[in-house]
Amino acid sequence: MAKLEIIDLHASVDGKEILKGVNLSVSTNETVALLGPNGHGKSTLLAVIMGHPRYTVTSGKILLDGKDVLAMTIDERSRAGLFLGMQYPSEVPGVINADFLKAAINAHREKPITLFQFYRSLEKNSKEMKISLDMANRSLNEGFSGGEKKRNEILQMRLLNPDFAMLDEIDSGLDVDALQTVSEAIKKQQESGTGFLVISHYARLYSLIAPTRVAVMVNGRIAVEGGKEIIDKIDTTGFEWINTELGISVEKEQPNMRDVSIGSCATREAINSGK
Amino acid sequence: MENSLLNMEGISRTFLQNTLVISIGKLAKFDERIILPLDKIEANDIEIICKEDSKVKLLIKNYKNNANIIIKIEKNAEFTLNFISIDDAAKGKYHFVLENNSRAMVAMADLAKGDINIDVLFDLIGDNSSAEWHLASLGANNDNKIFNINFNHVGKDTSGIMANYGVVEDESFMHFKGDSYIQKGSIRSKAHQSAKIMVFDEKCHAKANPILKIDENDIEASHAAVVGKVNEEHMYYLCSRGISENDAKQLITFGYLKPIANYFTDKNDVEFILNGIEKRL
Repeated sequence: MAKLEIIDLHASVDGKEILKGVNLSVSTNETVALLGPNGHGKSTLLAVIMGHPRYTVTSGKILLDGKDVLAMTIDERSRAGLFLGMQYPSEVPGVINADFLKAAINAHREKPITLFQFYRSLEKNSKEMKISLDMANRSLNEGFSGGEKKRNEILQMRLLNPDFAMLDEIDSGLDVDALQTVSEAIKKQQESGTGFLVISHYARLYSLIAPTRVAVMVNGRIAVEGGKEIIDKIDTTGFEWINTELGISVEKEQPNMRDVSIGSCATREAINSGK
Repeated sequence: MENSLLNMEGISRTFLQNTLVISIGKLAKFDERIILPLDKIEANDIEIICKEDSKVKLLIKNYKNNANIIIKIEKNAEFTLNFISIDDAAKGKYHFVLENNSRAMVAMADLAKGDINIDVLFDLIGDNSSAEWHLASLGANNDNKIFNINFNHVGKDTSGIMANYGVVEDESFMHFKGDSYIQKGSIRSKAHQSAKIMVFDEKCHAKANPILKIDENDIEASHAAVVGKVNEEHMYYLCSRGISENDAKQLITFGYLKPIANYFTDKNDVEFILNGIEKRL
């Protein structure tokens, strides 16, 4: 049994502290539901575990089976057994989905996968995810609908078979049928022992994938941990009880200033394209 | 043996004051691409005339230093030029003159090691004439690559499209420049310029500054120039799946340059380009 441990983790973005001492651990064979109001650090926590370059870890530790995750590069973390199903998967023009998937699979293997094996596996898992096979020949996520992107994330999870899968609002943008497909795939992955850390705002996904534990994140910390009853409580009454029962005042989100730039068209395009 | 412009039937070749004049006959239509073997031609000055209603597709695989080529495309003629450079790099001038309803399609896959300095001018003289230029270029080591791509819109309803994609690595330099000039009276003309260069290393250097000059009101124009690093989010996404930084860069670069192959119809050429990109990466 492997264990992912987060110990007193502090992280910031552009000098602003978002994670203020997170303590949480997840074991394989366990599914932890991560809840909390918007802007309190849930997505940040997952991004920091995966190694997103925008965030700076100021103190604390992340250990995967005792190994120092923070010392690993992003790709090493994936190869060590971590997976993050993203809320907004990038569209990467020109990179063909199948090439990408093959490169990802090969990165996790000693010997490269044969073409035949690859297509067998892709075919099987695409069918499971109800993704049409010609999606494999399109540019990675480019022009995919919201639902297709999310299913493509889960497809990658199935192909890479991680020890720990973190899912960031994987249910947003999914219709009822797609939600069913995605949760079926998660359940299969649970059966093979993968540990899950799942963010969602909706009780529906949780009722389908049956979390073993629930953690609530408030003000950049885990405010409370407990059983499934917390999900129902939040679903019916919101986050007010955190204040009244636990005496933690929930900080309100501050709207950020938008980036303003005065420049030529080239500058504007560069900003819009995020380069 | 592959079809060469120097021995094809239906194409005339004459020497006029040190200029090799190649003429594609009126109404002549060639579907297979024909090689223009610049390395086998002694003259630096070459004139290619596509007579009325002709159609021809040429491939330049070996450059020639200081080649000075004029291509006259007469009424209703269609001219396609494909450049592939894997090993050789060179300086050269290419001047296209387009008459009414004529068309020029030019695509260049440049993977050459070394310096390139190319001047291209499309003179859109005739009404309803159109020209497209597509480029994918990879610079590495100490390569110095300059592409100067110009369009001169004179006739009515002309169209000029330029799309340049570049990648620079190591200590190389790349420059995309050129003017699209829409002259007074060239009504309903379209000029679209896009120039993008992806910069990989600290010491490489790139500039993209195409210019639009417009002297007519009733026109359509767009213009984009970007020089930037690889998108950090794209890198993060690929790496988060276990793909190493180096492999992720290769995948992205390959994806960035590969679309140029869409403009090449000959299977062997497409393969040659894709292998060439892979080899260079």
